[in-house]
Amino acid sequence: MSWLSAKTLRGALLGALVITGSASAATHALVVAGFGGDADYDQVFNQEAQTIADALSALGPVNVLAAGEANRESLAAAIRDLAATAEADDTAIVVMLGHGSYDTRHYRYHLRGPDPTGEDLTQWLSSLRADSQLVVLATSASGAVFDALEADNRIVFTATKNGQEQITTVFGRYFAEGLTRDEADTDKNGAISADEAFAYVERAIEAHFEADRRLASEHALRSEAEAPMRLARVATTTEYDTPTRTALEAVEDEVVALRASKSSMPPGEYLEKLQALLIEIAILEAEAEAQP
Amino acid sequence: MRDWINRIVWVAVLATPAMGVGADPIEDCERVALEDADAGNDCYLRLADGTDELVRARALTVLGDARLANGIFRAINESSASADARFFWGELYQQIHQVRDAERLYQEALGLDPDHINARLGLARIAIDRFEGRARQLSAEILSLSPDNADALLMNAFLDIEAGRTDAARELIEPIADAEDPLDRVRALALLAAIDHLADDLPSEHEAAALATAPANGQALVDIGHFYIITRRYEEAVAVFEQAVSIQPKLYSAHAVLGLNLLRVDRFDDARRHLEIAYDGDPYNAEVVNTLRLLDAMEDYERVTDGDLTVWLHADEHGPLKTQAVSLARRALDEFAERYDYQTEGHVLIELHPTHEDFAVRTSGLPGIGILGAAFGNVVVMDSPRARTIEEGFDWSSALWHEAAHIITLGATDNRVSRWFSEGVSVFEEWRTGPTQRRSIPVNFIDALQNDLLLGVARLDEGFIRPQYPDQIGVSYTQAGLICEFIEAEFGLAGLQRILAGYREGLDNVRAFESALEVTIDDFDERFLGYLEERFGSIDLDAWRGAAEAAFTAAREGDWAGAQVAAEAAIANYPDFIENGHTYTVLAEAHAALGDVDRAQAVRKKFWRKGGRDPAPLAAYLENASDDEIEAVEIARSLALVAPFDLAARIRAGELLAHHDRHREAQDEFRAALALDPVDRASLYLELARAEHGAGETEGALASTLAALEIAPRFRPALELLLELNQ
Repeated sequence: MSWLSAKTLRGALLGALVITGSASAATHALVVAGFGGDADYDQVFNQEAQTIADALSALGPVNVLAAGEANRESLAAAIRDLAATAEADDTAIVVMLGHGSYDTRHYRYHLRGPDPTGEDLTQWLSSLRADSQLVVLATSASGAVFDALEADNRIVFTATKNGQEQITTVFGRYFAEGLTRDEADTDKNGAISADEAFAYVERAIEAHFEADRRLASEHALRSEAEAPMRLARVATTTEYDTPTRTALEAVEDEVVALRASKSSMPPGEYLEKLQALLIEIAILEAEAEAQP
Repeated sequence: MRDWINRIVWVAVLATPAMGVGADPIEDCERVALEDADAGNDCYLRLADGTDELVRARALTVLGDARLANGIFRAINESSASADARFFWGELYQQIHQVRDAERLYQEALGLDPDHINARLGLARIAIDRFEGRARQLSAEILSLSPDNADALLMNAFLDIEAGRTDAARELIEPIADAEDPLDRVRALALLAAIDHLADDLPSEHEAAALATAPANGQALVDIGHFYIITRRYEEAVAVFEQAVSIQPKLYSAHAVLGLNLLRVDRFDDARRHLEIAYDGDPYNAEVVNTLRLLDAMEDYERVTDGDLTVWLHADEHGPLKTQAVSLARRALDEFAERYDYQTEGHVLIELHPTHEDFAVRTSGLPGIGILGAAFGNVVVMDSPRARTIEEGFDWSSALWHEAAHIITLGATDNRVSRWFSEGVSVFEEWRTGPTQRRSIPVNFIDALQNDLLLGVARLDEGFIRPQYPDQIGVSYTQAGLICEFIEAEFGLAGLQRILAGYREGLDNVRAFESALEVTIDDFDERFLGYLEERFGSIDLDAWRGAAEAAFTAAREGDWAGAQVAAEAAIANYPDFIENGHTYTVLAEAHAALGDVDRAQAVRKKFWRKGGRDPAPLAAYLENASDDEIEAVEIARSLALVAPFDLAARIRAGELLAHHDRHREAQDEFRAALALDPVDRASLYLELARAEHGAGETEGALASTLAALEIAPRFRPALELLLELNQ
C-alpha cells in the first residue's frame, strides 16, 4: 500500500475487518511520524507509522500525521480531535515516532517547525476523555517525560529510560514489527495486546544489540499497570454465539484464577485442575468450530 | 618477608658477576637466605637501615616496600646517570609485574652503558617470559659477548631444555654445578634436576644437592615445575610446586603458579586457597587477581555430569548448550578411544566460558590470549559460542572436538607427546571425524608453503612455542594437521598410533617419528613437501585474490553475470578456502539473481559439504529447500550446532527433524529453543509436545501441552492435541 501522507485513514478503513469487544466501546488511534531531518529518516518513520496504522486500523479509526507534514499545530489539533471523538468508555491510543531531545530542562519532540515540548504533550494529552489510554513515545530521550505523561487511566511506553539516551532508537522499528508477527501474540487469542507488543519490543531490542555485540544505547520504559488494550489482530477469530462466548470467558477466568494460586497448591493438584478446565475449553471450542 | 627474595636470588647474582663471593652485600643476604629465610630477612633489614642508598633501595625491594624503594631509586637516578642504578630500578618494576617499565629502564641502562650485561640479561628474561621468538637470539648474543658469564650460560641452557636439547643444555650447565658460589651452584643444580625430571630419571641427585645447598629456598623446585608446565605434565608440576611452598611458605610467586595449575587438574578449592595466599603476599600480580575474580564469577556456572564427563557452562548458556556439549564431548571421547585405542582415565572436565577474556584468564591468568581453547590433561577450557561466534569464524563444536582429541593424545602418552603432534592429531580429527568435518586450508598456509617458510618435523614445535613471524602459529597448526593426514594416507591410522606409542615409551620427537614410520625425518619432510606441492601447488594466490575481489565488486554493482564468472574462477583456483571472504556465497547469490535456483542451491550444498559453516548460505539453502530433503535436515542441524543461540536456527532444525520423524532429536532442539527464553513460548511448547507425542512419550506430551495452554488457554492447536491425548 502506498503511503498516503497527511491523510487520515479513517474513511478508508471503516470497511476493514473490525471486531470489537463490545458494541459501544471503540478504539481510536493517532499515529505520528516525526521530522526525520533527512529523506532516509523521513521514509523510515513514515513506514513505521504506516505499519502501525495498518495494524490499528483493524480495531478502529486511525488518524495519521506523516513526517513531511506533522508540526506543532497539526499535532495539537489531532490530539484535540482524538479527545473529541474518543468517548469515556473507548480506548485512545497515541503513537509518536521519530527523534527526540533533552537539554536537561525540556524534552522536545522533533517535528517540522517549532518542536513541542514535553509540557506541551502532557497538556494536550490531558484533554483525552477515554478511560483507557495508551501513549507510546518512540523517540530518543523520551524517558525524560515518562513520569509527566503517566496518569491513572493511561499506560505509557517510552523508548528510553531517561533524557540522556539521545541516540536514535530502534524501538519504533520493533514496535511496528511486533504488531505484524504472530509470535508476538503470546496468549494466542488472535490479537496482540499492548503488553504483548511491549514484551516483543523489549526482547527484539535486546537481540538487536546482542547481534551487533554493542552495549544497548536505549532501555525502554513502561507503566507498571497491565496494558490489555488490543493493538492488532493476527488471525481471524471465530464468531461465537453468546452462550458459548460467555461459557468460554467464564472458564478462561477460572484458568486465570487458578494460575494466580499456583504457588500455593501442590503441583499435582494444580495440573489436574488446570487440565480439567482446559479440556472444558477444548470441548467448547471444538463444538463452536463444528457449528455451521 | 616477601618472596621477592627468591626472585632476587636469580636476579641479584646478575648484579655484580665480576665481583665474586662476598663483594655485594645483597648477595651476601641472599646466601644467608638460602639456608635460613628469617636470618636472610634480618640481613636485608640491616641493609635497609644502612647508609648506601642504592643498597638500601635494593634491600627494600626484596623486603617488599616498593613505594619507599621506588622513591630512593628515583632520587638516585635523578642525581646520577648510572647504568647500574637504572638496572636495579628496572628490577623493582620487574618484581611488581610492571614489565614495560622494567623494559624501559633496562633499555636506559644500555643507553648509558652498551656493555651492561645485566641489562641485556634483564631484557632477554622478559623475552623468555613472554615466549617471544627473539629470546633465543638475545640470549645467544649475551653469551657471545660474555662466554663465561654464569647467568648467560644458564639462560641459554634453560632455552635448550625448553627446546628438548638436553645434551646441549648439560654442556653449558655442568661447569657451573661445581661453582664455589652457592647462588650459582644451586641454579645450575636446579636445571640439571629439571632435566632429570623430564627424563623420569628419579630420584634426582641434582635435586637433592640443590635442596641441600638451599634448604630454605623453594626456587629450585619452581624451575623444575616450570618445565613440567610447558610439557603439560600438570599433575607433576602441582606436586613440585606444593613441595616448593611447603619448604618456603612465603614464596608467593610459587603459590600463584601452583594455584593456576591446580585449576588445570580440577582442584578448584585448593587452587583458590593458594591464589588467596599469593594475593595476600603480592597484590600486584594481575594473573592472580584476574583468576580470583573469575573464580567468583564461575559461581554462576552450572555443571552437567554424564558418568565420567562433566561439562561446566554459564547459567545463561546451560539450557541451550548442555545437550549439544555433552553429546559432542561423549561422542568425541568414544570415537577417539576406538581410533587410538585409549580410554581416558579419571574424570574429564570441559568448561565453556561465555566471554573470551574469561577463557583467557582461566587459561593464562591474563586477558588477550590468541587461542580459543586449551586442554590440560583431562581438563578442557574453551570459548563458548557466545564468546566467539561463527560469524567471527569460530566453530565451537569443532573446537571442542579438537580439544577432546588433546585429552586422548596427552593421556595416551602421559603428557609426553610433542606439542606439534598433539595439535596435528587434533586438527586432523576435526577434518576426519569432527562434527562439521571442516577442512579449511587458510591463505597464510599457502603463502608460507610458497615462500618456503614451513619448518621440518624436527623443529615444528618451535613454530608453536617461539614463532618467528606473526602467522607462524596458525601455519604450524595447519601443517601439523596435514602431516597427520599425510601419515594416515601413506602409513594408515596405525602410523599415528605407533607415533603415540613412541612418545609414551619416552622417545623424543625425532625418534618417536622415525621408529614408528621407519623413515628418516629428512626423507619424510621431502615426501611431505611433495604431497603439499601436488595438493596445493597450483593455487595462485594473486589470481585468487583478484578473482574474489572482482566477484565481490561485480556483486555490489549488480553485475551478476560478471560475479558468477569471477566467483567460479576463484573457487576453481582455491576450492578449500571456506573462511570469511570465501566466494561460495556470492556465486550462489549470482545464480539466484540470474534465475537459476537449482545451481544456487548446488553451490550452497557444496560449500556445506566442504565444511563451510557461514550461516548466511546455509540459511539461504534452507529457505529454498523442500522440507522433504534429507540434506535440509542435516544442514539445519549444522546451523543449529554452530549457532546454538540463534532461536530461528534451533526452531527450524527442530521442525525439520520432526518432519523426518526424528522426534527425540527434535525435542532437544525445541527444549534448547525454550531455554533461549523466546517471546512465543506457547508455540514452542506445542512443538515440543508434538515431538514427544511423535516419539510415543504421552506423559511428556501432555505436560508440554499443558505448559502451552497454561500460557495461552485459547490456543486452538494445543487444545486439539489435549483432546487427542486424553482420548
